[in-house]
Amino acid sequence: MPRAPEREGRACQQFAGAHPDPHFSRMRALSYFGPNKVKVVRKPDPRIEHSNDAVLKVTRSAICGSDLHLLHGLVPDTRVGCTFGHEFTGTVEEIGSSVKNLRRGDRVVVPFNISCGTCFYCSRGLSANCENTNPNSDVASGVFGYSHTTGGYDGGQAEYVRVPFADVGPMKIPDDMEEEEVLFLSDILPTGYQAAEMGEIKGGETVVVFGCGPVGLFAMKSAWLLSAGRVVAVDHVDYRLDFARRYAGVETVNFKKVPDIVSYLKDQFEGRGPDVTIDAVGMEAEGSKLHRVLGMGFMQAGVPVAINWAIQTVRKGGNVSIIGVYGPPWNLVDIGTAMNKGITLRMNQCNVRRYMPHLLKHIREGRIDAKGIITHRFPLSAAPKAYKMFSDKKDGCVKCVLTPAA
Amino acid sequence: MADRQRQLHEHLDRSVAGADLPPNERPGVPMEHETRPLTSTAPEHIEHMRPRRGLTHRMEIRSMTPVFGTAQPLHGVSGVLRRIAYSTHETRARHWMMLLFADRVNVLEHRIAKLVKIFAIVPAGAAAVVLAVKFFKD
Repeated sequence: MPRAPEREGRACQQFAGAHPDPHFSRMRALSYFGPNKVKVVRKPDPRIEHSNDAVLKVTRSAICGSDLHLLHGLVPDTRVGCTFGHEFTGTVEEIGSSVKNLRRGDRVVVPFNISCGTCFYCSRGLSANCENTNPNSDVASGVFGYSHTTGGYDGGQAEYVRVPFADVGPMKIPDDMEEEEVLFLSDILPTGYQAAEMGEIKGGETVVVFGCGPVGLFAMKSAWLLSAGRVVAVDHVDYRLDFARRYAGVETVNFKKVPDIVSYLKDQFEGRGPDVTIDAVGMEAEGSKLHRVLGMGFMQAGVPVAINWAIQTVRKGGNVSIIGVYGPPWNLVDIGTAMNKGITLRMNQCNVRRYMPHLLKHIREGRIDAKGIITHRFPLSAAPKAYKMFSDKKDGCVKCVLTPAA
Repeated sequence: MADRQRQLHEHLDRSVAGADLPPNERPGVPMEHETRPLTSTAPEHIEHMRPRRGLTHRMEIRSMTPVFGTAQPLHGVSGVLRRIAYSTHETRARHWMMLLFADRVNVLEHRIAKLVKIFAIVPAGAAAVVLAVKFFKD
């Protein structure tokens, strides 16, 4: 198999745990060195470790909101040296002996979940629950660059990445499309779509989306596609609310500017609340000092404010869709209210591979401008700066994309 | 909510709104479908990766899954703590608390190793400079 050509040496710190084998050229990769500390360092290039592996040269890699949970040290078993990044496109550089679907030079977009395609769960369409790719936990399948709790795979915020089950996950990028047009098929677009789909919109329903981050924005767009009658977005960052109004054409509410967000939202929907609520926030929600103290102090796994608001706001008998990421093992969730109101709770990590062809069609036909949410582009060397900006929500940052080849 | 009217007039582009209303236009419905391979190219037989040192698996399974990540194998005190964590059920809080504790120890280990490196390099460098100066003086 052809190997990656040696790359020019660039001034870059070397990771202490680097592979001693001189056969490996040393790629640049973002690495984790503790809470709020990431650096670009040299690491050994990935290699084929299984006959169905591929090694990709990464062409675009995005920073996801859920990467911030790793950055802030909230995901258990995030080891020093871990390379983040589960949203990426790349060019096939090397393939394992059993790979049939890909050739060297193919441009591909890769789902964030690593799935075998044939196990009990994959064969039922639940690729996010694959049982053959994560030895460390039963809570999820393997995921690129998302700690050892999801299998211990390095991610795509690097020059090269190992992609297991190359015949299952990666989807070829059509020749007439650019990487950035399809990059978000790897995670946030299918995730947002699945969030709306789990709301079981049948036509004309009212939807409230908590969180105007990238997943929330795509959930709003998807709610329209699925025929919602009214969509309201909730956040506390004004520029993101503005962006949601412009990008997704929704109504917006800044929860810090109303006395009680739950009562306010109920009032907007004839006192009953919306038919569907979507939690697109996850474990670092604002809105309750008590929960923030308990959540960040590891007394509970993150801050369940968005889930609780979703449960309390939705009308009786309505649907709550949870797509925000929470860590194990527990949260103080208002389950009693959910039971008494007869709410349907639906949730899962996104089964990305199922959605890719369908959403690609929407992008091609102009119904979704996925690239339109990119606000910042950085070379890989500036990734720590990009993380800081994204984490601090500065400079109107909605979505950062890294270009490792730049 | 002053922008309610604007939303109705500006957003509702008919080619977008409701495009996926029919259930057959929804790729995830039903969420769990009848059994079939996820893609037509999915391998029928899954070859197992060779096990190696420094890796972990949860105690509920007897061995590694067929495919796994090999990044950052266990080492040092944090590695010992992680081994202990993986010897308890993941339904127990102590499993997760131990992993979070091991993460912090791992960071500390890295910082100590870096300091040791600095303390080793600085005196060696200083000695080399002194020797070089002495050599050129002579």
